[in-house]
Amino acid sequence: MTVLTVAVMLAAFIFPRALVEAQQERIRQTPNNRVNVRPKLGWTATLPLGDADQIRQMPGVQYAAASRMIGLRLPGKDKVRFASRATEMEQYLPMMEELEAPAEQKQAFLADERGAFVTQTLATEQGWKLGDRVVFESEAFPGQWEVAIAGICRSLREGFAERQVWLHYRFFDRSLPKEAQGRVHWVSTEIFEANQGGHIAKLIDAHFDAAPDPTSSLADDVRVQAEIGNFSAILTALDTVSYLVLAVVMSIIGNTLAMNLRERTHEYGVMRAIGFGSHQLGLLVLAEAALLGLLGAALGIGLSYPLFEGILSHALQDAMDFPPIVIHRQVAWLAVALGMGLSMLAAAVPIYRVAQLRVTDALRRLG
Amino acid sequence: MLALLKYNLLSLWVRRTTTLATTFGIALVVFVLGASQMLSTGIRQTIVSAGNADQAIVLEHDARTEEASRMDQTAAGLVAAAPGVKRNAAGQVMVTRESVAHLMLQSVVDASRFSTLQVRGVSANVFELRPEAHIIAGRAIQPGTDEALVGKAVLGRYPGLRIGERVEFSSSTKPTVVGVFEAAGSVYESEIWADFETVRRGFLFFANLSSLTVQLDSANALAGFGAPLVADLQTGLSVASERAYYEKASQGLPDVIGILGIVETLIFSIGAVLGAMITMHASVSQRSPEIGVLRALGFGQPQILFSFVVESAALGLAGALIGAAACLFTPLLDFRCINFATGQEVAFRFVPGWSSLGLAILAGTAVGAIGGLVPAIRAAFVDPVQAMRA
Repeated sequence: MTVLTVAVMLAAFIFPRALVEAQQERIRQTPNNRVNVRPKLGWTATLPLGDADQIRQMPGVQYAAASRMIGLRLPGKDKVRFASRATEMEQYLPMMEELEAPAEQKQAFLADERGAFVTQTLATEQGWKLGDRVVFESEAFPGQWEVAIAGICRSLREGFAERQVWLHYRFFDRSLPKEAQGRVHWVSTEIFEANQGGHIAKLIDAHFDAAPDPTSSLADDVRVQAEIGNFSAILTALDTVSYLVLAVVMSIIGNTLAMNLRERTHEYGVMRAIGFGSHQLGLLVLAEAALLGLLGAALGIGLSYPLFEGILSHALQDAMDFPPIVIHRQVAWLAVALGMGLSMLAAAVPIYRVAQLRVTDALRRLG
Repeated sequence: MLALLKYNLLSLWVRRTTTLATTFGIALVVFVLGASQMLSTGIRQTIVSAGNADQAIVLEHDARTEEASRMDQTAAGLVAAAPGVKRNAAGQVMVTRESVAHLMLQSVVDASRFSTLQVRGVSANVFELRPEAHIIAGRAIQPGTDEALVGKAVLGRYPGLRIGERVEFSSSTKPTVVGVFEAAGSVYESEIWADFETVRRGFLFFANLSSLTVQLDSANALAGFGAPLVADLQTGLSVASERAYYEKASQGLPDVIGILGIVETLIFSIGAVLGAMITMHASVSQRSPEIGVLRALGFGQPQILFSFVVESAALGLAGALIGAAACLFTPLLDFRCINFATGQEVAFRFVPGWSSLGLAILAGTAVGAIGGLVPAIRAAFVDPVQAMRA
């Protein structure tokens, strides 16, 4: 039962920890050689397509790919949510190394103007295979778009492009009413030198300062940091809770060990009497604590994965568009290490008592 | 019966180390639940208190927030002429036009942090329409000048947000901060206020404006006021009571926090129930001779059962009270977070309330009682003869 308690408590530790860790992981995985250029007028405003060409000519910029949010939906399947972009893919694919797909698929997609590039998660869920023809509608524009699945990719960056569809910018743009053509929501760029994003972003904004559509550029890593910074108070709170939980785990283990000890004083007395040293007994208690922590952690992790990544993650995604919950391996290892470490720490007081035990006293007590 | 309960409660004290460990666990359950509920309440209050039921807000028809709304000047004339608009003592219509934008600033307190603050371009009559706001330091801005006010929740936390400093809206628009205002703890306190024209120029509004806030004759005048405006498809306006606008803006974030809190509490309370169970089990098995004596003295099984559940519930209550007491310190924390609905950063408070704390204390006591149930049943079935022999 103690093992179960420790397991549940560690699960209570893993939950907030996983949420915090996932965000930190997102910061770590964001490349430091990208700059994102958006309209200064806000999220819903647009820039002319020509901006991407101008940015491409600027010193220090390697790739610049314009994207437009196109709000695709599957006809009759309003519940199926995914992100969709019309993007200059011949610039975008070479820079997005984190989108992993066989080279021949990338080639095939670039060669096929009526092709769609989709993520694995979405393809599996919808049963799409290479070459399948799929019809999309758009929330933003009237009409239907029939495209062939030309490439299926997997995002190596966690939380990035989990459920997404890309179409070729030219193909989509041509189908729009004249007045809507040639506009983009942002330009993703890759620069030659890492960590120069802040500098290049300033150059780009200065370049467009006097243009009818001024820009607001930010290095990707800064943007992600800023986005997460918005929630940092919640993350700090979760962080604090996770550590408080550990303190409780420790006090429970310490308590259990102390009670065991009390019950078994007589046995320890006998063991001392037949020649075990107090060091050996101490080690015994320590080993017991470590085992307790290990079993608790193992069970806790075993419970956490199906519970959080499975049930809870789905429930929260459905209920409020919450990002999927992912428990990183390092969180799991941390739980094992802390489970064992804290158990052993909690064993300190009982060990001290065992060591102090006088054989005669112990034997006198009838457990 | 009273003697029995006294025995049970005293035994908690006798075994206080063990009691303390369990109490601590329960206290944390109560703390997490209580604090997350308090925060949820606080967020709703902060946002909703910005809205008055007898004021209306007019936005572009498909804009969800003021920041996303752009109307042209003709809207101002239409709104001023609409029925139900109150006039002040001087006979002027009580309508204020505002230009609202977002500004991303790097925090002075934590350099790794960028925050999106809301900037409100206000007209000369802003304090008439927003009576909860008043200057607490410096002075009000002079209409038509490049001057700004900062809400007291953001004062000094971002570059340029102190009296005498300049805050950068764009490369050419950098108004000087001349005063600090408070607004009854509402979301306005996390904003920067500057002149209507300054914001329009700094954030490229051209001839547009974001919102018109109107003092109505009464809350009932809303329908009569709004109908003709919404019907004018040419201009494309939407009308809502200010209260309703802010209520909508308060959705999302408190739900997320409430749910995170409840999920964590649920997992955690299972752990705490188990913890209480362990404690009570050990307690019962150690005290079986005593229980035997109690039985021999004539206390019946139901009484023993009841008294042990009470013992465990008392354990829970003690933990709950500690946890709730800890919750009372949370209003001292500085909690800033983005409001999902509007995308701006807001300083929120933890608001203690009977419903949040009561719920939390109840949960803590229940954890104790449930955890104690099985051990109490065991206690009730102690065979007095066997027990006293041991």
